[in-house]
Amino acid sequence: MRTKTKMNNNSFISHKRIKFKKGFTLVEVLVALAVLLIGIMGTLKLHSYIIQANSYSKQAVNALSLAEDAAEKLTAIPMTTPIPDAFLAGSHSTGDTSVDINATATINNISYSTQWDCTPVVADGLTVGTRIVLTVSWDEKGNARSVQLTTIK
Amino acid sequence: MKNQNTVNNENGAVLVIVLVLLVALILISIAIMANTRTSLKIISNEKNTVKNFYSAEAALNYTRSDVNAIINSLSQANFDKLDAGTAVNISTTVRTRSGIPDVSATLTKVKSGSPPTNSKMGAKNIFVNYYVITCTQKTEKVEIGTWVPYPKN
Repeated sequence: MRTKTKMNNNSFISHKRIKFKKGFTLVEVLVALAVLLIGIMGTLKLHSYIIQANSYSKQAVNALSLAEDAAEKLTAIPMTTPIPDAFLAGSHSTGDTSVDINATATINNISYSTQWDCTPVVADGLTVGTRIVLTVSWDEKGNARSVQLTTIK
Repeated sequence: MKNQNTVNNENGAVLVIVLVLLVALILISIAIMANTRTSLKIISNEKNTVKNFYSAEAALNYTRSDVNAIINSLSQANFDKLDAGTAVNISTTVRTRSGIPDVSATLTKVKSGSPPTNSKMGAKNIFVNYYVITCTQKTEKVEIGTWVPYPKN
């Protein structure tokens, strides 16, 4: 009687071990890992695109504000006779004029260069203004990017 | 008994766990992607707005400095006698003469009268027409007032 009880207890314990403490098999784990890896690889590509797009939009915001800044500074120069240096026909950046525009500005390790090209607007043989094409360009990991504003003064 | 078997059966559970994880990962990725798309749209809109604004301003500056020629080029014989408040469409003239594409411009006569004080023009010999120039480039609209003298007959 005593022996029988003991045997019963033993069989219960061993049964519980097999049925409830069973882990995942190697094959299951391998298949799961493979599925997870394929899924992660897919989203990883998306994430690298997201990171690139976000850094581009940050840089574009910076470039746009630099372009607006330069455009407003140019607009503020009074148009006199003789024509101010900044509006002489040709390509300009800082250095050939007294305007406080940075030819290059570095924000978050990205270097932005500003330049503007001036061409006279001629109608009926008379110069009626100066067309200013202002470009802020930067290098986004090997891709040349730029923001361009055109105005007439 | 059958139910209990189904509940306790852990075969294939890893796959389900992995799939749930993957779905969560993909949902998070989609949310981030939506965010990035929005910021790209914002910067692209901002860029267009600034470009359009400077384009409209260019047309305005051009029209202001070439207003006499524009008025002369209009087919109206008695432009000076136009009723106040009449807006004349000068888009084609402005586009061809300034070289700014797609801009639309109107010239509105406000009133006729003596020259502005401080203009150093003798009110005895000169009449003045006051105009409002309005230039629109897509979403951006700018306007300015100007006056054009002509001799009293």
